[in-house]
Amino acid sequence: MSTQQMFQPKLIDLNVAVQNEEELFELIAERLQQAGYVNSGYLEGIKNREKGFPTGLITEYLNIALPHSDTEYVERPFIYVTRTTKPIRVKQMGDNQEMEVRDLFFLGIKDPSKQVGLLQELMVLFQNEAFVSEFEKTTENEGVFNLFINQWEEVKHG
Amino acid sequence: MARKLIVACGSGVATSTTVAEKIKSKFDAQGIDYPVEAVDYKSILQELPSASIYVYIAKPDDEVLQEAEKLGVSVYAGVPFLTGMGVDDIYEGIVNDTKK
Repeated sequence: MSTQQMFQPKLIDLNVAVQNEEELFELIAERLQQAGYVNSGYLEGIKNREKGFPTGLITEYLNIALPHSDTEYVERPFIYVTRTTKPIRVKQMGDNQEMEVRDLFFLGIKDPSKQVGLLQELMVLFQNEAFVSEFEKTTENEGVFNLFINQWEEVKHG
Repeated sequence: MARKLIVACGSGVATSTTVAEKIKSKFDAQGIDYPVEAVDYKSILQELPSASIYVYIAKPDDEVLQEAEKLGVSVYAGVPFLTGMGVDDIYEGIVNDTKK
């Protein structure tokens, strides 16, 4: 499955009103389970995983987080894009320091050899100032979907 | 002396593989022939004796850092390879270590 196929308009929510990371995880886990992307162990899986190995990243233009669970809890590969209505606290990958974030990308990795390109492609995008500024300006779910798809088309066709 | 670069994250899949691939392609571009492997942080203590360079994604605890020092394994932060911030200095250090 290509990265593009993992992206879907229904898996984008730019207006998530939650108070903290735990509420966000509960909400997204429930949606993903109802849509058949994850199994019942996913919520615990993602909570434990984030506790031990947090995924917040301070990139040059934007703070992001990439919560993901071990592959056993993922039924079908996905990427779920969320933006919270206000910043929530998460910990940084690598040094476990606290940071604030609004843009979180839940990565559903089922087969690492097939989906490892996803993370690479995301990180390339988030080092692209023009892309990030466009992404931040976009407030419609469909708009973000189109932004990512167009960006990847450009990459593919040079 | 061991001669291998290992990258360790929480599962040895997503993040460490991404960073390992990135380092590999930088090595390839410069003609540096050096083994690079993504590993699971949970098995890091077993992996360290066969490594010379350890790039961490998951924050290493004190026991792991002490073991690395005892074994003479160089330790570098791997997150800059994802964010791009501060990556040049770290990469330069790694390249120097590959020449040891």
